[in-house]
Amino acid sequence: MSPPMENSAGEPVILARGLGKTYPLPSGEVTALGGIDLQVASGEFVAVVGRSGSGKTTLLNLLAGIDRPTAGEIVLAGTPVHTLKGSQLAAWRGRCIGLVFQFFQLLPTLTVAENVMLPMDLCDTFPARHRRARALELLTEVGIREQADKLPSALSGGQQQRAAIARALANEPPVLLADEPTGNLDSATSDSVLDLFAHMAADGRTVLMVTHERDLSRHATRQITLADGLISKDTTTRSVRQGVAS
Amino acid sequence: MTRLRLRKLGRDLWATRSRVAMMTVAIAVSVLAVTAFLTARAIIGREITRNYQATHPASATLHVPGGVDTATLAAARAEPGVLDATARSTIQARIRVGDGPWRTLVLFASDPADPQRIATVAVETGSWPPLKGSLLLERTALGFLGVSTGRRVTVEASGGAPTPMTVAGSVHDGGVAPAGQEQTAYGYATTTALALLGRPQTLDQLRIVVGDHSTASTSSSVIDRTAQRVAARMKALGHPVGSIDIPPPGRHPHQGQMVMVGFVLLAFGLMALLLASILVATMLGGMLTAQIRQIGAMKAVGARTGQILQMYLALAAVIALTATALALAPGLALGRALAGQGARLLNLDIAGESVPAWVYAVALGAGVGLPLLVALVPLLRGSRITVRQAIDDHGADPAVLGGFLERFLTRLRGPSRIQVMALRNMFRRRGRLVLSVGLLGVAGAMFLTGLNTAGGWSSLVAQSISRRDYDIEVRLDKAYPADGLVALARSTRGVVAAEAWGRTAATVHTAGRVDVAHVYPDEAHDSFTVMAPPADTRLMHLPLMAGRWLRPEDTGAVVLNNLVPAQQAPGTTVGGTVTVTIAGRPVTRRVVGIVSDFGTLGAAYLTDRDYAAVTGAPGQAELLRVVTDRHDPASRQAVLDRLDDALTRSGTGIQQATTIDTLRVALDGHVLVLADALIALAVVMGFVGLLGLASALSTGVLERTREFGVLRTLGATASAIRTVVVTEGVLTAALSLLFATVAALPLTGVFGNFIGNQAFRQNLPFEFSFPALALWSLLTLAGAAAASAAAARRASLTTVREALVSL
Ligand SMILES: Nc1ncnc2c1ncn2[C@@H]1O[C@H](COP(=O)(O)OP(=O)(O)OP(=O)(O)O)[C@@H](O)[C@H]1O
Ligand SMILES: [Mg+2]
Repeated sequence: MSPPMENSAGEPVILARGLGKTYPLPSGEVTALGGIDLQVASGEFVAVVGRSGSGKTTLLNLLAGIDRPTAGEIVLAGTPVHTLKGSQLAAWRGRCIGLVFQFFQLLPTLTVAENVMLPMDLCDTFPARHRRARALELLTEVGIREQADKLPSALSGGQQQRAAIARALANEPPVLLADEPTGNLDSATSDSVLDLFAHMAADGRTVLMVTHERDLSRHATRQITLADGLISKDTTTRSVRQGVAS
Repeated sequence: MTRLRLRKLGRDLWATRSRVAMMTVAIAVSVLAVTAFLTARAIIGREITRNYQATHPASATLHVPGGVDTATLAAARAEPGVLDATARSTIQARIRVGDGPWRTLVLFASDPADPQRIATVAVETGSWPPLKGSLLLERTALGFLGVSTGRRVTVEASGGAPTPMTVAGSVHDGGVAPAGQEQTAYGYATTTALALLGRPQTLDQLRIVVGDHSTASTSSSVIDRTAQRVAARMKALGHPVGSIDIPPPGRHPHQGQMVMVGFVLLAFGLMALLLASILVATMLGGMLTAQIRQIGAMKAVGARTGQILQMYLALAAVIALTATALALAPGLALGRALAGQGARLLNLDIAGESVPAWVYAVALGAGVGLPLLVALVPLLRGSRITVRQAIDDHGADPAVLGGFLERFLTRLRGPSRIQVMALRNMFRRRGRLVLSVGLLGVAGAMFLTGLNTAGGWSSLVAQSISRRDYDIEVRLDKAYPADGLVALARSTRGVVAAEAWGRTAATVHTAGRVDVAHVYPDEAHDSFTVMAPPADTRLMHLPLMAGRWLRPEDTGAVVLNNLVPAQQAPGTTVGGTVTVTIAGRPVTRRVVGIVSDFGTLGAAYLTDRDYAAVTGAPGQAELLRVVTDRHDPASRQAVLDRLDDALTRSGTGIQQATTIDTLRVALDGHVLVLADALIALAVVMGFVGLLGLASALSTGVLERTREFGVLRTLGATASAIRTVVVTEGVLTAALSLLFATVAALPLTGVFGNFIGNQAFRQNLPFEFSFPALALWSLLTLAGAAAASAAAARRASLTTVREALVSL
């Protein structure tokens, strides 16, 4: 049942080599990503920052298999992503990646708990009778256990974001990818979401988050700055096994 | 599917319940129609054959002018290929109740000792054989004549004297059409009645059943060969056969009409179902588009295309199954009711209402299979959506307008920007627009075509009546001096003009054979006459389909009506020749023209000089056509009564005397079924079309909920948004109206010609029903306004926040 997450010490969980993405436009090609090499080990909490249009979302989408690279290759949790197709890709994504977007992606006609159960259902992970218990556990973890049986529309923005994070964790993916998950949260709420991510990383998962948040030193272990589709800065902000400041 | 996914399915159904209801109703209505038509068809198809077979119809009737005696009957029975034989007679007569109007009576006579194994009837009241001086009537004749068992009637055989008789009872004859539809009563009597009516007691018809072992043959050629052999044998025995009647084997006289109605009904029904399926597919497609972000979200957490497809297919299946389940029982009930109605129109007894399994199978297959199949297209497309596409989706596509249209709309300076926005919206989803306009347009075109064609039937009748320039027609029992007839008619009060025509029954002749007519024993269906109007006739202006009309100087020329090439002499064209037996002599004539006529029998027109030469009796006529001063039914009948008296007093024998109104009633009776069926179908079509419009509009609004939310944050009022939506809806309806009207024109023509020719070998007059167009315009425009207003109201009830965050 458990997804292939624990890699042997040396192997990075995320491995990108010469990763590039260009968009053909009538006015010529636009290079969104100009050949990036990146290695992320398990337990790392990487913050990807950079100015608007620098290629952050593009990078994340390539890692998640939402977009296909025009150059280079990606190996994520041992799987060469660029070789997967259609339904293989969907199933792989369901098991290996937890995705969180800026806009909440909860299904409006399912309750919060059911939303969290959905990935387990779709990928047939965990026995059916244990799924609800696991969903409640995850909701407890993100602090909205009492909202479990409400419909998403009855939740506040921050609560919905946490529900989406709980859902992203449902299949115990080794990698969590988030695109501006705190983009429209107040600072206190976004702090707690970041805390949550830091916890995940500390638990041995790999977290990669695109963000505009300024003060990340408390949470992220590493900060990658993109400029014009290239990595302009890659700094370790905290040591990986240091744990979370509290 | 897992319970979780089922739960999502259930809640999605519930969340979109009004649209789900619309889809279900659309499918249900069409499945109901299809089931009903199939059921009616299956029952009537089975029963019409059973009823006809139950009469043990003769395969052929040989006319033996000298009469059939016991010895010749035995000889006929002994012929190989003849299963059974009997002697009968059919008398053209008139019947009246009290001093009511004379009605045409076809009297079937047989020997009292006839074993009644061929051309039988089921006695319903009274008993066979009837006592001396009485007759049995076909059950539909009782109502037609307004008479009941035990009552006295007056019967006058062609050329005989009016004779009082008693109605001894009623029978069901599954081989004849209802009396009212034919405006003809059918009677059954023995040879003793013939004597009473002043006719010889000889039976001049030999009816034979052709077949091998015990089953009657269904092959016209086998029957023809056997009948020719029997005729040769009869001739050898000193009883020459004048002609042979061979009706289409095993087919009820109105079977063709029935098959036609069934076909038209089914075709329209399936068309409605197809439209409903497309409608459902569109709506499901719309739902998928509305859920595009949800699909993206599910795919982002691991859903495979197959899983998504399965969910939405299940949704479609639930709708189709529910609709079919809802429609099946009422469809069967309606079908049985229709079959009952059809049975009354065809004078059938329905022995069993059981519906064959194939009806259920087809109804289920069509009701569930067709919608699913059609839905597969948008469902496949929708479920293939990638996370990327879902992320990029912002409701309606912005830039799909053609450059020209975009520029035009951008420059438009209408009374309000809101109207311009409605226009832009409409064209933004061109696919959707094409579909709604197409769907509603096709439904509208079918609606109009149905009503136009129904109108075409009535105008065919009206046209055929108006082309008969006479008000009264009197067929005489034999030839009389034409001048005397005309003078007598002219001297009758109320008569404006009169013409005496030659008229005699004829058969198409092939050398070396006894003539065969494909006529039924009622001697009306598919029969053939020769007519000779006076050279200066003013009572004849049938439209020519080919060639020309007769000229006085013509020799050896004939004009046929459209039924002759179709029924009696297949393959005959203008320029060819046709050989007809007239007064026992074969006569060959060149065909110079073919005229179109409706509501008549096969007819060949000769010049009066030619006719006189052929019959050897110049100045003689058998038919009197009269124009009256007033043209209402009562006046015509009054003149007819006076004329009838005058003719009788002068010693002229009348075979049949009718006003044009009798013909009109008979023709109306024949086309009514078809017209009613078309109207019913137009209603079904219209209903499905309007549902389609309503659902397409509400889907369109739903898809743009987000956009409206944005608009409202920018300060657009609810009423401004309503204006956009309603304008868009009404414009869509107007476009579809245009499409429907334009499409209905050729469709009406093609369809009218098709069913006209199938049913009566006749193009239908082109009829465009403006009331139907007005009704459809009102329905679509008002429907569009109402549906879009409702959708807009719902949209404006959605809060801005819901609109903006909804998936
Ligand atoms: N579908 C596309 N077609 C063409 N160009 C694109 C497309 N998507 C992104 N780009 C371009 O690629 C570059 C990188 O875009 P990307 O979305 O990755 O930026 P970003 O760093 O996420 O910016 P933001 O912080 O504003 O979200 C931009 O210049 C953008 O215009
Ligand atoms: Mg971005």
